[in-house]
Amino acid sequence: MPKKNFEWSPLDNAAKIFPAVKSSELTSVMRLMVVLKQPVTISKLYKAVECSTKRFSYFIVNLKKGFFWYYLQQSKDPIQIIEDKGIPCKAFNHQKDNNLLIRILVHANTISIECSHIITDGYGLLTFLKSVLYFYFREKGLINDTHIDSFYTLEPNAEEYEDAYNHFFKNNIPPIIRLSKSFHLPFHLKPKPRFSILLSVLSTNELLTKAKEKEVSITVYLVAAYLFILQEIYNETHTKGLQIKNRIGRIQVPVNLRNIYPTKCMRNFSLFVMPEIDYRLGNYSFDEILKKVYYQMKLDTDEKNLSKIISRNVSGEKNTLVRRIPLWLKNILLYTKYYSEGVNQFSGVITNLGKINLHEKISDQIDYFVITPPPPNKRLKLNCGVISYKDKLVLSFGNITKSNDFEKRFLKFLIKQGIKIKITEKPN
Amino acid sequence: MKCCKNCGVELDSNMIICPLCNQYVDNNRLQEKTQIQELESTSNIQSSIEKNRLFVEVSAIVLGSGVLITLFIDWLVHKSITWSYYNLIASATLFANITVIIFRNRLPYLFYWASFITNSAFLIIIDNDITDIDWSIKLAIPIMLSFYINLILLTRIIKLIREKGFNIPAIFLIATGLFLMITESFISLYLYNVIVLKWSLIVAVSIIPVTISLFYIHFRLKKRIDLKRFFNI
Repeated sequence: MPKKNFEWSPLDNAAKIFPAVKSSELTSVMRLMVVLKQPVTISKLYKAVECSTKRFSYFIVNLKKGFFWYYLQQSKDPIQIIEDKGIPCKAFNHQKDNNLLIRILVHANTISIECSHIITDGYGLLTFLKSVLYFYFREKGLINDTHIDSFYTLEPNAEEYEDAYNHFFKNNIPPIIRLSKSFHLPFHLKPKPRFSILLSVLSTNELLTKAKEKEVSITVYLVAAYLFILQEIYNETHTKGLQIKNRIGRIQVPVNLRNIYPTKCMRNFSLFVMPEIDYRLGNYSFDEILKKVYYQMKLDTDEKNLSKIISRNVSGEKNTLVRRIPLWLKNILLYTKYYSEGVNQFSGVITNLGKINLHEKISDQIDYFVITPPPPNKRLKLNCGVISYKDKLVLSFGNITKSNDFEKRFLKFLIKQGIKIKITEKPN
Repeated sequence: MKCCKNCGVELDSNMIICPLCNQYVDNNRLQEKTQIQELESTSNIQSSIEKNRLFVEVSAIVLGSGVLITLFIDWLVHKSITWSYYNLIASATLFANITVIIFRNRLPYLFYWASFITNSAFLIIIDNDITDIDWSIKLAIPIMLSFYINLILLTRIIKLIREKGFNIPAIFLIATGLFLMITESFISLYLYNVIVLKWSLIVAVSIIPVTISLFYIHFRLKKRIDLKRFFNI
């Protein structure tokens, strides 16, 4: 049973890896941005953030070091609202700023929330941003309490800050098969600071029509396109005679487990499915890749299969011996495991937050949303966030290399399919 | 609609400064503020330099007059310079130390080494005057060097500690225990040519429970941390 009042809590199962691997470049900070049609009224935003802070008080936490584990401790510090300038998804500087793992950045008509993956996942971040927007527009007098979903105005439920992985953990489930290493983009890294983003805005309806023609979802369509472009790059690298050790293209696609398990959890509660193609078996057409991705994702998102992954992940932290290892040693082990296994398993990441819906009274105030996943690690080099609002779907490519070749090919491929694309570096 | 020219957000009509980027909405006010800040910072720097210079001057006058008076009295009584020589050396060392302390903020590590060199020179001069150079090189300077190294390490460690409390006296005690052991090692080497630890070991052992208690109190009181959280398995 979760505690009634949130004061402190151990990190959830997914969050445990981040403190061990985070650095000034691999920040584990994600960003969700909303582009409004009017400039942000700053005084109203301050009030809105205050209301959201009260509602989601379990996001107002500091990361503390225990002897065996890290833990989150409730803080009374206010969320920093700062001017949005410089590099996105920067690491939290606890010497310079406050000790929270969340901040709000504002510029002209954009509001961005950046938060560490230690406290929540994309869904939690989106829920928090939606609450800020509802309270903001209430302060502006565009809506009143009756237009806001009661979820945002009620007291937080204890289930919201429980570790749902632990809640749905099942004992005695057979272990999963270890995945082989995958192909990685052969691009050179940029000098520090490396992370940059490229935004492209496209029509949700156009993309949906294309996906429907193939009888798949937008996510499956984009994942297949990702694998198709990876295959192109793999073939070119192969033709150039460069040595490639790993010949499997595999994409990590986060799945929101709240759609599968009945929970109100607002902390991390997602897992990954990893559709793949084996380049050793020959060249795949886009339609073949689509078919493979579609069936692999169907099979992998089966509740029983996900249970197996949850059990694998949680059983580690439940192990009597592991629990008694001091934190400093755990950090070394986790860091080693992350770089020896974790990052090698997939070639790319696509995270799709789906279509955002807001109350019709305020829906016209918003132009579009942008989700930027945390900066990728040195092997992965690139990732992609997807989010759509009304007819605007935004692809956000996070890249730490000197090359934009992947993004160019990906977008050209979509253009060839008949989808119009507008590329932008920074929304205004 | 009133907007900030710097960050582009909309401001309330009564706002003079943008709360987001802290810039004046009115450009004239911004220029005024910048000029005032520049003037303030220049005058602050000047006043601090002047204060330091004044302190060095006053020290020089006080120590210099003390040296002159003692030299004069010594000469009157003995018709030569005898005991006042020690005062001269001590005052010169003190003045050198005061000077480096004054400028320690600019070059913190140079301060330690400058202070060490001056004090070493003082000890060598005294040693040379009493006997041939003997105990200063073999005993006093090594002990003093270990003291300075201890002090530098201590300063670094304290700087790195984020939450200061009872952990600071505990670290001081550990440093003291170590310093005493090193001191006894040098004394023992000087006297018997072998390291034998006796009293410093007793002091170090006595320090251990006090240090543990201080660390315990620190972690117990540290910002509402309870040990259940800290040692949660």
